[in-house]
Amino acid sequence: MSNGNARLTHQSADQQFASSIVGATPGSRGRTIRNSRSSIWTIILRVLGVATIDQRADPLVKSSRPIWSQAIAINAAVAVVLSAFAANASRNGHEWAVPGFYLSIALLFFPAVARLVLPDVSRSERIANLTIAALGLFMLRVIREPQFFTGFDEYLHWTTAQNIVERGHLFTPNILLPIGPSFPGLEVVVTAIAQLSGVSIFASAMVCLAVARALFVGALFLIYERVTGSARVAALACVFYMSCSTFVFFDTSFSYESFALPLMTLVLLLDLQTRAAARRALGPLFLALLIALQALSMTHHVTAYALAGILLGYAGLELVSGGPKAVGLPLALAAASAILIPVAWSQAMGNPGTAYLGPVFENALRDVSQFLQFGSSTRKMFTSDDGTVAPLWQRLTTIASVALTCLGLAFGFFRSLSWAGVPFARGLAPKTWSSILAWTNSRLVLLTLLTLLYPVSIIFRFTRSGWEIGNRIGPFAFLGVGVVIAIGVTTFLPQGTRSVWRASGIAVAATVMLLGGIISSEGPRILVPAQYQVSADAASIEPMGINAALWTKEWLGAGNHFAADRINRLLLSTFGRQLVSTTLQHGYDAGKVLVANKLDAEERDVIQKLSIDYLFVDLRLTTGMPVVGAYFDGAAADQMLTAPPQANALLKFNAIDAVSRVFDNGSAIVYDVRGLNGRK
Amino acid sequence: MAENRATFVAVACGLVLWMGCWTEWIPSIVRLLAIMPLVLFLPGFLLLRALLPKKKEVDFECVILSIGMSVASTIAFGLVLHSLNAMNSAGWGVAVTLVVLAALWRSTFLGRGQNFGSFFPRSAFGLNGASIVCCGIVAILVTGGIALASYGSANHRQFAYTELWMVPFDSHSNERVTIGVRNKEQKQSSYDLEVLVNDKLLVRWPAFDLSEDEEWIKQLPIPMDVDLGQRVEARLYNHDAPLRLYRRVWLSRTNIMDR
Repeated sequence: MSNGNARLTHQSADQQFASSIVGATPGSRGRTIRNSRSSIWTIILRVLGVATIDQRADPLVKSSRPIWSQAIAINAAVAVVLSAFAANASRNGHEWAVPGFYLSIALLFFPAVARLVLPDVSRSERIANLTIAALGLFMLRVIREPQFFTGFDEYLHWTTAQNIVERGHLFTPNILLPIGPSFPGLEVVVTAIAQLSGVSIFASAMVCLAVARALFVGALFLIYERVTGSARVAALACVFYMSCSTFVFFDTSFSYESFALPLMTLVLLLDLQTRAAARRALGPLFLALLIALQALSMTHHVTAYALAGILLGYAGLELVSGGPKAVGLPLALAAASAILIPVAWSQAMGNPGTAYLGPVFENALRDVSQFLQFGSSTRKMFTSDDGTVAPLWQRLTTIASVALTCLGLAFGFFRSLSWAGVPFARGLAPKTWSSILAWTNSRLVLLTLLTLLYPVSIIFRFTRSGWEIGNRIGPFAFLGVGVVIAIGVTTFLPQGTRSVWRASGIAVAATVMLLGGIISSEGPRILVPAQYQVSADAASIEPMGINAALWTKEWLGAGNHFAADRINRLLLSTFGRQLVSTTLQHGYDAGKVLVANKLDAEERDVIQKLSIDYLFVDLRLTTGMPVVGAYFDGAAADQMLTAPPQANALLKFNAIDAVSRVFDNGSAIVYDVRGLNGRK
Repeated sequence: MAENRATFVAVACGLVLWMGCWTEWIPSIVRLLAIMPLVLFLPGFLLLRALLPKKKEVDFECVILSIGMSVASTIAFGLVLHSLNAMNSAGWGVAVTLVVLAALWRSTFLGRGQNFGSFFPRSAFGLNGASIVCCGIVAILVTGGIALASYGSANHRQFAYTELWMVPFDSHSNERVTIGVRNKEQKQSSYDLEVLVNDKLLVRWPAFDLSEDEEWIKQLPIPMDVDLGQRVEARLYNHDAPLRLYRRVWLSRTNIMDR
């Protein structure tokens, strides 16, 4: 990790430490390959940053200026209030609501970034501004759903949390998400706070997710700072990380990834600590790392495996660049533990990930393969499954966001490798094979190489089945994207430059990237609309459905077996505490029973095999196509529906003698089919 | 210093004991604010202090690591409580109390005279008068924003409707049914309700008024000569459209007799 050629001219110990990590040569900017001719090729190389060494430590800022952080905090709070007005306007059907909400996001984000871009800002102010931006964006998530969960995945985890509170132990099966109870880290913490304080699971979840967000951004900043040796690059890297499409809303939802990512950064931070720690502190730090790894393994399978991949990749790069001695015992043990602990946990839980993830990856890879052969699996971009097309400004912002990200990567990729001490990126002609691989900062090399996942995630997002995987790759790809673009930006706005225009330009670009990321994830459906929409998650969860689910608990008791559409399943499972049928659980599609024109032997057979007690029929399904593409769970019932189901089909149970109609609110009807399920 | 330690421990233990679900009268928001640092900061902080006793100052890194290790150790606590079949409010209360006692042990025996409060110098957080005022303004604005959004969400009612239901009275009786009506029309409404057995009128409740969110519930004896395949049916009419059958529910003979 050391670089004997480094000329250390820094003022502070921190900066010396930084240089020792990155092999920096401060003040040597702009050094290019000697004897290069003025050709187009040379110009391209210079633009890309090959042979340019731009590592510079942060300038020594003597004192912080809290007035800026205070102004940015008040601005962020005002933006939160404006976003609340926009959210209410959306519920009242005003067209300006969605643009207004996006505008409030920009208002919240832009000033903080503009300040972070400037070189002469103290470390403490950077931390403060970054925390304000991160928690301000989190507050927008609270504004969007201030009273109850509205995300589909949130209801799956809410069910697991309710099971923990009601049963007093872990691992109670969850029909909606069979794999969920095997990874209950999030639910353990949330239910602990809820049980100790007496607040609802929703309120406890909001608090825990806010803390997790602060932990994630704080740990990410510290990791980037240690890796690059610059608080400025670290803060900007966090800013550009926020343009990941999952950052603002998906990774703050009540879902296991939201807790797993902060735990992953915690492990990476502890690993960095072990590398810098004295020999005596290694044992205790490794113990802390093991506790964090165990917590991560209990929280989310994919993130735990991704972390194992990152630590293995780092160990591999250290091995390649410096031999076995460079890897060292702490890193080897950390990498081995990162593999063994999640595998051991998964085995102990009965290896639930294989059945759950296998088909997802299989379908995604099949679709990507077809996409690459110009097949038919392509998603229609900017168009939801019910045919709604995103407004032009949203499409343009998303395209601009992707273009700016690509530009930033092109600008920063080789500069980042140069910063990491990769010889060819510094324009040094390799003399021997080993000199090609003799970089000085394997972590930065690894982060730079992680950016290669970004185009992969884009390709996945073009496909129908792969879209979700592309979305989930984002948080890992952006670990590299953030820092690479930040290094590119520091080149564009070098130290000593106080150009407000340049800083503003970069802040505008970062804001566009953030908005584009959010739009590509949430699009026009970012707010709860005025009108109910069919199978549209937040736009389908409303008081009438909730009250119907609550009625089932009050008058039928909990634990009855229901068949329902995908939205009412969530409500019945959480508000109603009923058992619901899913194709994922039994392989039988209860949706077919609901939408079939007649109740034939096949449908009666499904009722018997699933031991269904009640059918929950929602006549609102007849009013439109499903916004997210499925009325049920995408199985046979959905595949047979090319138009909204007919009311006659949904009401066919009226004519069956052994069926009672026990509840009717004009839209939702509950049929008692225990006379058909064979249990009587 | 000893007094500081004793005060800290007394206050923390008292809070835990009071808040650990044995008391209901303390508002949950107060309990939440008190519980948060005890669950989401203190365990990790103590763990790091125990593992790395030489690290004295509380900096940003220490705060982040403390939060992270608290989350991680809470998950580990959860696994332990699960194995002890004590994953409830009492179990968590005991776990948090043990953490507080560990703080006492830590500050008394390992702290070498350093009281707990000295870990957190006021200057470490950059707090001054202006910062505190700023925090207050931000807190008021954010709370106002959330309250505004909550108000909008609570009053966002897209559907005006009435619920009608009919269920067997209980699992031991096959002689009575319960019929209920709940008004969610967002206004006062008038209804007629009639109950038919085998298509013959059994009873009729004309013109009863329900205000918004009001319930109307009756238990009704059912004659025992209901034939197989016949129903006990309730029909609801709304006076806004009195000729139109507004809601209907029924119980088949199977459901009544098998209860």
